[in-house]
Amino acid sequence: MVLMSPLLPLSLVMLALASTAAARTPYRPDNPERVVMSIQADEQPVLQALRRLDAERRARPADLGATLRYARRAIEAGRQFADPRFMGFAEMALRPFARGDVEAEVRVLQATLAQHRHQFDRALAELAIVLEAEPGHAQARLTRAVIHRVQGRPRDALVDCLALRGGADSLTASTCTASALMAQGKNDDAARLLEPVLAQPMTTDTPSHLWALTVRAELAEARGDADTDTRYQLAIAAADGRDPYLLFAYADFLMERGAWANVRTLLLPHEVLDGALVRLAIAEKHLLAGEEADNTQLRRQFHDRMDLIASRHAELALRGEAPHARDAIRYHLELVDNPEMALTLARDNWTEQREPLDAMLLLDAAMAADRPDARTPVTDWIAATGIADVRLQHRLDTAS
Amino acid sequence: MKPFWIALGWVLFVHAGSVSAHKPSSSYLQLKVDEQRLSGRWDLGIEDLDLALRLDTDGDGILRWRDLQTREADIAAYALSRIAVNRADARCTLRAGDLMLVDLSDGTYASLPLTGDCPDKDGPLELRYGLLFDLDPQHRGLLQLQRNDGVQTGVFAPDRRVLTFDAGPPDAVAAFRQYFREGVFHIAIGLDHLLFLAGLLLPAVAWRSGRGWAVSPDARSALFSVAKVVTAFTVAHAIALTLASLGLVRLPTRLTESLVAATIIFAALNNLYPVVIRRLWIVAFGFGLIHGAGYASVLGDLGLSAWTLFAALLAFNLGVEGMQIAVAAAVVPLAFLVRHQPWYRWGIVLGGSLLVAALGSVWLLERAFNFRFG
Repeated sequence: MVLMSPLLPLSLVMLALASTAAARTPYRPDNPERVVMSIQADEQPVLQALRRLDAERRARPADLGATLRYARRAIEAGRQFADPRFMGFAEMALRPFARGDVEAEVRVLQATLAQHRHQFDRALAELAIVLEAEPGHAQARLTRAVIHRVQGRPRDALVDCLALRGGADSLTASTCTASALMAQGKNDDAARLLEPVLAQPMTTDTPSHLWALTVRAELAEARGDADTDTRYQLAIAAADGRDPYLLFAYADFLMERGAWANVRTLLLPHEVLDGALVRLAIAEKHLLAGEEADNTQLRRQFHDRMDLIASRHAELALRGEAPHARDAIRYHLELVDNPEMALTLARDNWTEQREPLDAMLLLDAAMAADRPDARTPVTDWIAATGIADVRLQHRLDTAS
Repeated sequence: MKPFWIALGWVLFVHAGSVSAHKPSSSYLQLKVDEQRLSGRWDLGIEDLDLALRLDTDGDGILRWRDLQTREADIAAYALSRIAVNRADARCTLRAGDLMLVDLSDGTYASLPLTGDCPDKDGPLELRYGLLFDLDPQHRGLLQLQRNDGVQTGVFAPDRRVLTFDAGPPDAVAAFRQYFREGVFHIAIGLDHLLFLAGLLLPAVAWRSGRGWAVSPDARSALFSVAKVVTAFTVAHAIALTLASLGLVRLPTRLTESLVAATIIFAALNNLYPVVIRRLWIVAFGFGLIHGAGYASVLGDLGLSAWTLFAALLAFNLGVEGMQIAVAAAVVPLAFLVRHQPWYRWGIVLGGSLLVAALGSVWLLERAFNFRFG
């Protein structure tokens, strides 16, 4: 009998020997034309513009204007490509002006950089200083309103948004107010506020208009409107590839609906981005459990993706950093089946961010970890803010 | 910490891509210190080199191997100017070899081989790193340093540009003693190991035979068969542990843990319905391979040099064998004395074996299918 013989364990050992992973050895390529770096096509013009501005900045190091122009463009590039390196470049450029008597504009950009790093307290501190000296500073006011909303303080957000009205940019003020109202469950009021903004032709103010389209899509999603899909597609078309975070928001909408194939179609062109990685892996996992169970190529892609996520996490751990909170929660909740870890991360995340998505993740993690009591902070927050979102309601209804 | 060539969680999969990964910038510095000799390699992001040296002269966003080759000297000069190694406060020399490429999990990196010498072979080691910090505050230098007493890691950051490593002479005697102790504890606290042992030892003096029981004729033959089983197990355990610790064999934990549980069930059931009696030592050998592979990560993780690892493995396995013999020496004579007693046969051998089989089954289910009971 096979079990009796020591050959079974021995052969297992042999098999394992044969399949050890090869070490990553350096090599000298034969082909001099071998591509070693290739920037995406849409990044090229941005990088060139950035290089130009950088050259101007270096030519006139004492000129704050040149530095601000470069830093702003770098931050924009960082958002557009979801690439943290650009934020680092902006930070380096601002450093000479960040000592002693710091200009308001520098503070505002530093607050923006801090916000991007989720250092919200630092950002609020900088913005408070700016608004103390210049209460009419629209950019500072707007940035602070966004932080308040992200951290789940809609009343404070509303105060800052209302302070914007009467300023030069009424469209932005309206969108800001609508966004703050949504966070308090005043969805219909928010919709009414957005109407005139959306009625404006696109050419008048593209960034504002894009923000309004995005907020309107989020509103449709919160109300469970039938035209949510259309509204997201409108916003994405207007963004024209400049806003990966909008893509992620639409992907979340599709995931909520279980439209896994659509998620893949949407995010595959951006699969190098961390946010896309996790969402794609979740979509692929569902597809492989369902109609694509026999698709060996897809299975291989899924495993490659999981390996890549794991290696990114490992490297971040080596650097002493933590992965993006929401991605990490989803990773543990949906990809590696560790609801306890997901819940711990979700609760940590809840101390920093309180948008509907964060609430959803905490609710999902709590139920998966069989800890319905852990949902209390979210239910309290919903009661306190009055937020009305069908996704949250659905989760609370099905669980009780 | 893993052996030198299996980098600590660094790269789990080979991707031959060259597209930018949009992850924060890191470089990977591996240095090995052997007495006065330094060797290693430094893997650098190509986008980082482009940022520092403006390699992409035509600005089309594409770099080819020949672009790197033409600037090879600049790349080496830049890298060497941003790193320094000192030993006992004296500067070590560092030289770069020919530039190469390496495919890491998130793309292709430039790889610079490094060699060097330090004036002293003892003394604290100080590494200074400054690559890219003036351009990208998010850049980090990930260090893996290998010396006689193991592998250490570190992270260079803009606010942490110097890392110091105290040298400790490897104490062979202390290491031997430590790992012997580890081997003893490995058996003593490894409940599954103990249960497996019990499963094998209990019937040494009285075993099921047909509808009745057979008994060992004398203490000497009982002890002899026990010694054969235990030694076969330990030898196999040592072989598997050695292979796995050296990184030559890597079995997934879930597989080995499940197999260990399976061997426990088998050993226990074998007492109830004996299938193997006379060649039990062969079975023990096979199972020793499995148990050894299962515990390999314990020692492999310590990242020791080859000689220290060998000494450690020797000590560990002597500890294992020593403990097993101690347990056997305590249990078997007692069992021999009571081998005719019904309460020994039915209670301890059969009842105990049932209990062991049950526990083994629980572990098998938990480990194989990732359940959690209770």
